[in-house]
Amino acid sequence: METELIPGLSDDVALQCLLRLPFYSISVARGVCRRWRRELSASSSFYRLRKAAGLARPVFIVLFLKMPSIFYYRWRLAFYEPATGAWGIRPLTDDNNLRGRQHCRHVVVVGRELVLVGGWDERRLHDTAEVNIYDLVTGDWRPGAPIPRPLNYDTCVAAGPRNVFVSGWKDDPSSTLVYDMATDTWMEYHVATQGPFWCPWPGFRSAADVAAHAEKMRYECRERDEDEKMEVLTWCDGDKANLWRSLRLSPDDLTNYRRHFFVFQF
Amino acid sequence: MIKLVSGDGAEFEVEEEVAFQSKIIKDIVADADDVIPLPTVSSKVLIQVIEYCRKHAAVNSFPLSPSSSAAAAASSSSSISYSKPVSDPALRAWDNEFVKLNNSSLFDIVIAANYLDIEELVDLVLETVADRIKGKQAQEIRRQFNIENDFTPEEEEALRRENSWAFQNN
Repeated sequence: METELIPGLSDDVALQCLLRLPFYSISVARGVCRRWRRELSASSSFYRLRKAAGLARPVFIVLFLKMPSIFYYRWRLAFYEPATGAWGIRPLTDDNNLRGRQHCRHVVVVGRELVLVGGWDERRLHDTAEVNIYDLVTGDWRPGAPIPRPLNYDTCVAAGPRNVFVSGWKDDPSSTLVYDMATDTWMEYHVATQGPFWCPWPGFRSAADVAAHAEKMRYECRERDEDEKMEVLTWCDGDKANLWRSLRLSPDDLTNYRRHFFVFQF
Repeated sequence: MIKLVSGDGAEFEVEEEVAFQSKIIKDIVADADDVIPLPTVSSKVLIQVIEYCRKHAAVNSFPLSPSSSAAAAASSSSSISYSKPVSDPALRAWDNEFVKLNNSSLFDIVIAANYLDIEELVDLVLETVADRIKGKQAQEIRRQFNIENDFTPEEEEALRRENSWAFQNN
């Protein structure tokens, strides 16, 4: 027989308790015992149940560079949960695991995963084709399928609710590839034209943006509560200085370029 | 008056609106008599549950103005939001006092409340248990809930390093 999730409680009641844990408690709770680790693993139905129970809330994520000296830099991740005001910071990487130590030039969030397209070879000092995927909730890394073609300086990476779209390849600027998160494969993306796409400034959006937007239209609008979306949009468009205050970061902690903001539901 | 009989044979007389906080009792009373045996609930737990129901029945039965009762109806019908925050601050404070119990008493209450289908009480206890987990380190969680640590020391060290968020509040 399997051990109980919480001794003294039936598993379904215990699970109801765990479903109520906030974003930042999950990765700690996974360190309690093997049963909890398995229950809260990335592939578990736990996260679907949590969403179905209406427990998902927006969580804001900031990826920023902490640079104590010019020779030493590390990416850090901050989260902020507006519903409770809880916040926290963790390094994206430690010295034993350098997966996150890269330029983070192309980084997006899909679902609750941070996708880093392209890596950095520390010894030879050049970009690599690796793709690394970081689960924001569990804190686990997994390797993705490497980038199949050379990137260009104006490569655009955009995230839809399920997949990553990349346009602007060096060898073929007009094509768009999609990175399928479920199967970890790169595929050609063929735009299914549904009439002209309305855009106020022609050329403002890249092909990847348009593809990601199209995917958003397919899934997100149906799933997500309109109010919640408004709340998120207002926050994103609002004064970023408020965010720094909320996160209790001083501007000195942050270099002025390359900060990445994301919002996801957990 | 409705008579509730606990598992150890003690009888408790309660007013209808108190007992009807439990949907199960409401259903039973609708098509049966007024003596309700609750074989799985001990007297000690039943006393606590009745105390909770009595308090909430008293507060809920306050005459509501038409607008606020309409708002309450709207909020209760809207989807399955789990934590209907108890709006009355005094009642919330009372609830917070009510759940200042050790874990095993809390577990007994949530099992009884689940059995009796008292949604608000179940929510309250589940929230409380989740509050006792969040913000704690793994070692404290294990100690508090009597959970055996089945990781090897090396695994645990690796987990600790990769897992925690620094500086979080709440």
